[in-house]
Amino acid sequence: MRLLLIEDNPLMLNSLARELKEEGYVVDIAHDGEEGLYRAENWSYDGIILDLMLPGLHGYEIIQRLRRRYSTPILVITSRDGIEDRVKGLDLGADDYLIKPFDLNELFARLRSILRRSSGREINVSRIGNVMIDHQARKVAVAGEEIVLTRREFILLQALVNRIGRVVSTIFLSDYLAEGDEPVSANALGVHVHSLRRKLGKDFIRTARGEGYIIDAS
Amino acid sequence: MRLRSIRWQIQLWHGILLAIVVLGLLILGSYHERISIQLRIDRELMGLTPTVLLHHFPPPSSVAEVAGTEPHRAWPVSNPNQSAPVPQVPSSDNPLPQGDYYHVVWDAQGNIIARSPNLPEGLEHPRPVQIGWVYRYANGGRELLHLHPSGYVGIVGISTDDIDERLISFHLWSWGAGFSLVLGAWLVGAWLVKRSLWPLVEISQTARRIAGGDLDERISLERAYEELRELSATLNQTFDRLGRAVRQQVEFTADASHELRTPLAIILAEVQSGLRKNRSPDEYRNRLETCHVAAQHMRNLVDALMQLARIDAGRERLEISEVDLKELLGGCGQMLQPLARSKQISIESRLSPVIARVDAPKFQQVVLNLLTNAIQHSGEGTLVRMNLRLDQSHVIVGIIDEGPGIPLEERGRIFDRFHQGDESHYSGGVGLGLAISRAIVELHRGTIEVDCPREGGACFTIRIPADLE
Repeated sequence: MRLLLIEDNPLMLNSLARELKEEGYVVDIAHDGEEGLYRAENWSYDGIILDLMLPGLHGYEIIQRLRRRYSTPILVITSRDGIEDRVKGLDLGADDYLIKPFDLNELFARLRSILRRSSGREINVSRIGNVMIDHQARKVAVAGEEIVLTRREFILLQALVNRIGRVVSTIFLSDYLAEGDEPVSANALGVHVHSLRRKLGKDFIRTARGEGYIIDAS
Repeated sequence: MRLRSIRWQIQLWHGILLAIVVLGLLILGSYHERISIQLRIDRELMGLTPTVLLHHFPPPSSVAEVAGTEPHRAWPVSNPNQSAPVPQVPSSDNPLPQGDYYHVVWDAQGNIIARSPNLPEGLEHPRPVQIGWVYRYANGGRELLHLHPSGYVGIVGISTDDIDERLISFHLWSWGAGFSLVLGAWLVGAWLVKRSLWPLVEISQTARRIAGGDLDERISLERAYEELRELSATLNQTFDRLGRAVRQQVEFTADASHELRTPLAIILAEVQSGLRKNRSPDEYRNRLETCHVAAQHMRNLVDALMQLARIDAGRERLEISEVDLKELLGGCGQMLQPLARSKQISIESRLSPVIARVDAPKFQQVVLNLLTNAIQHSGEGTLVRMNLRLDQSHVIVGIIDEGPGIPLEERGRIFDRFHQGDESHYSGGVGLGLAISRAIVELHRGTIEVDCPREGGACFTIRIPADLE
């Protein structure tokens, strides 16, 4: 899962980005509102974590502008605890609200919750054929037997599972898997797909020639 | 009843005044009525004399020597009824009055020759000394006494009970009317007073709602009476000012808590992350360092908040002494050399020798704060200038940078608490430096101002009296 983290305090930003990566997300960071909005509008993210009090562009403004075209789930973190602040944020289109200081586990749980809702799942476990994917524990089992996946492999699997039945383009996946701003090469992507097929079954991921990859809904 | 209320005071006094006036009128009316009843009774008594007294008296021929007295001269023997001694009693259209009249007649020797049966007890021969007619109060009644020249004496009278009886009906009527008048006027007065005092009630209700927390409530001036309009306007202004102060305080508290939450969130996240699983010593060190930075930020913030709280509560005292300001400012410049050097900024000092009475540590805090701001907001390789001079009785300190300056609309607010320009958020300040600086300068009875020359940069000027008590 690829996330965008927009936060102006550099310590907070580093700390959260590190923890989210440790949780298995791919994280892009933005230091202010302008940069955050630019990234959110030009890259595809599964979720956005947004601090409201930002220099340059206020968080409310970002939510408002984003919601004109995108439905990317947004989790707001802020130190403003007034009811009006919360109501305003949610009314503008934020999906959830967390007040600083917060517990990391709560942040992760709320994040999973908004991501789950946006992908149409109701629980944290997906079952496709004989493959079972636990999104929370980041575990995959084939026919009841646990399979070890690398970080990249799991992110790739999630990208495809969340778009099940749809062709996901190689360009999108290259961007999606990138850790920095540099996209993953088509070759490297092919290696990851090959490795997933080896572990989960040859026909689990189908190649849509010239377009990308797809996991068929069974 | 609350006698201290304006309403009851007005009611009480206007009630008492009204009662006194009405009482006076009633007493006057009662007196007048008594007189008029007496006159009427006197007329009636006179009217009775022909029938009950005069025909008992001897005829005028036998008393010729007393000719000249009025009743005698008009005496018609043959028809006493027609020519009564008092001409104003025409018996034809003024029939004999009803009532408990009595009469008695004595002859010249003092023997009773005629009497009515209801004669009051103890009535004796009056032995009058003067011939003629006399009205008098005697024997519990009003009497008309007549001494005839022949020596005959007659009395016709009526008990005063009869007068009183007639007065009673008058009293009943007039006192009843008077009481109703007082009561009615009092009630109308009560209504008027209540009506005219209603705006005061409204004002007090509004004030109560404001005290209850509804800070936007104001007294309506549209329907206010002229006399109360000014009061209401003044009160509204006061409410405005108080409301602003309360709102500022609320905002300040919210800002303070907001500023404390972020470093707290960082510390919590770092500690939680460190505890989640075993990590390498470098990872632990990394997290501890982050915690340290965040905790130091919190400490600075708390220190600043405490100092502001002391100033607000009036507990921040200045320890004034004679200070060589040239030395103090020079020291500040020295202290910030490393910071300036890291941005290749040079500090140019033009300091005149000035001795002034200030609180040295606090004044130093102000100068350090302004200098640090100037360095942080300036670009690399620029110049920060610091001036000190004496202008008559005022010390003037100027700190000028070549940074981006401060937009006009921000200049009024940069001394507010937690007011931060966009950049300063990164500079590690807590957003209270300028607010504290202004408070300290004001404790020195001075002023601090910011000005931005057209060619760019910001110029902060402090003016304080040199010989502070």
